[in-house]
Amino acid sequence: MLKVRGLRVKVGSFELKGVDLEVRDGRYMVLMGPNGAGKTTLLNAIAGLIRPIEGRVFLNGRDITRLPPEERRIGYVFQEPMLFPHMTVYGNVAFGLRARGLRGRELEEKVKWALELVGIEHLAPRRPGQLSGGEAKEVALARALAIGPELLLLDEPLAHVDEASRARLAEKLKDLHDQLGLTAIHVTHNRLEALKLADDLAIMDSGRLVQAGDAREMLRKPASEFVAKFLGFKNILRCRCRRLNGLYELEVDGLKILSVEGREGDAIMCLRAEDILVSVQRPVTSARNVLEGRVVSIEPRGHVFELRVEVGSGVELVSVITPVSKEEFGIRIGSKVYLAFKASSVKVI
Amino acid sequence: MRADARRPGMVPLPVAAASALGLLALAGPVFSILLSCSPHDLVRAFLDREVLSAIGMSFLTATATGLISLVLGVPLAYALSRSDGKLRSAVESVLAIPVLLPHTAAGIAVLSFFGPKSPFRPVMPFLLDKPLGIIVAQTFVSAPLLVFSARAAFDEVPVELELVARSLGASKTKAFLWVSLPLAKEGILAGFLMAWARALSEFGAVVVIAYHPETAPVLVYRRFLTSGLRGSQPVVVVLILLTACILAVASAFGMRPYGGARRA
Repeated sequence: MLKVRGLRVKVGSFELKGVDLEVRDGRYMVLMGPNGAGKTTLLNAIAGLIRPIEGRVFLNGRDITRLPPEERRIGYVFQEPMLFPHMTVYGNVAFGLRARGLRGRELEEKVKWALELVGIEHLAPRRPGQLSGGEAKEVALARALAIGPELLLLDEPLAHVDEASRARLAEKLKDLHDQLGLTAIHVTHNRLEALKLADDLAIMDSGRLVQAGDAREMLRKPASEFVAKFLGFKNILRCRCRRLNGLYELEVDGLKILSVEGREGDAIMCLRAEDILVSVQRPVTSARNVLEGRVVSIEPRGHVFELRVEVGSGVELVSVITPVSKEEFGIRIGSKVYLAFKASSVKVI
Repeated sequence: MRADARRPGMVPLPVAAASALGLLALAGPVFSILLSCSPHDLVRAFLDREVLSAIGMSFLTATATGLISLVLGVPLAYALSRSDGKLRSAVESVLAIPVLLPHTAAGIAVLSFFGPKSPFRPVMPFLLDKPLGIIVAQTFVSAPLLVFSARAAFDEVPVELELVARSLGASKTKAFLWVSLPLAKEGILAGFLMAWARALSEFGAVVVIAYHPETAPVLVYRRFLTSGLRGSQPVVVVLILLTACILAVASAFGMRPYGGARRA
């Protein structure tokens, strides 16, 4: 188990401002945050590459705050693979084991194990210059795993690789985590990647840890507008909240929305674009919220289109629609549409 | 695309003309002296024990200087490469002085270091007119070349590679020996050759401290003073031929004391 307590780190003008974090054994934590939030700095401090000015880091009960990196048993996959260019893949993977004094058969077996674990035994004799971006990342991963780390730090391990390699690597990370029960912290900007891999989520902003906890719980209950935005809530609106027949009625500039959760008084409502069903006729649905509106913009977003719909008195909601549905319904700017969503889809903070 | 950039046709005419002039100025004296020496004189020079002894002394002391520069210069180069800007500039300015000083002045500086008021004065008797004196003088003026070359090579090694090594369990020393040192190898070897060549050619600093035993540059100077151009030319030709052989061997082993990237 990793415990970070009140960690303060200064790097130039940037500062980590008293970070408290816990990663339980076998949990895969995904750490997210905008550029410059301090994610890499936090990883570096945990790995012992930067000295904190205050705070403590505990790994499995050991206080490792003052230990040099080589005594921490933390595997670290950097953003760039950073393979040793003068060594083969085998040499790279063997490096940490040699540094720990392993030689001969024991060394060979461990290197073989790590190469097979990541499925790259065929790359063993190659030089880093002969590897693709995805392969280099796999080698970096095998190298970090070879030392049998108590904690694995992954700084954007899926960045700067092609789409196919990214999907393969993500799958591999998930398998490895399931197989080895790794305790890991994985930094990423990619929300989909995060949601696919994370047991726990942690969000940082401006050197602070904004929220951390179980991924599902955080998706269900973001603690702030910032976290909600980061977790992909497209509709974040200020509202006035009151109890109504066992539910909550949220009033947004005169627009009434029903929610399962809420509290009396001013609040912020969050709603995912994906939780809103779009139709051109009033739907027959169990959803408690059905709003009529006009499409004000249609933007392509990868495989879907993002619709911005004015649902009354200047309030706009964002939804998504597939290209097939868009064509079938003949939706264009100015079209009248109905938006339906469940009261349980609305999160109130 | 890179190969296109090497086409001689890409060089504009004025640049080609200036290049030809530069080549003439630099290669001219070398070929002129090679042509001026008869085969008979050359054979005599090769058999002249004084010449062979001076060249042997030059090679011996230059090699010792190169090795000492390696032992002292590589750690210094690494420390400089990993130190902050201000300290590094200050130290590098000091190291540049022996290179920029007139050679005789460099010799005087070495003499003062071991002079009567210096705590190192007991060493002086082992230096004056001794091979050790030659080595000390040569090291003073040539080691900085190795330091600069090795420092540039260490600068090219990303610090992150050392951090990776440390996260994998390597101590600072192992990270240096297993990662930084092998990666900076080419620059260090180039620096070694530059230092060695500089030591081999050093005259001014050496002559101040140890006129004897004679090194090749000292012998050339003495022969020139006593026997004129004709007397010194064969010795110079022998030196040119030996230096060319060494450059060819170094080049065959991939060392490039004259710098530049290796062609694909």
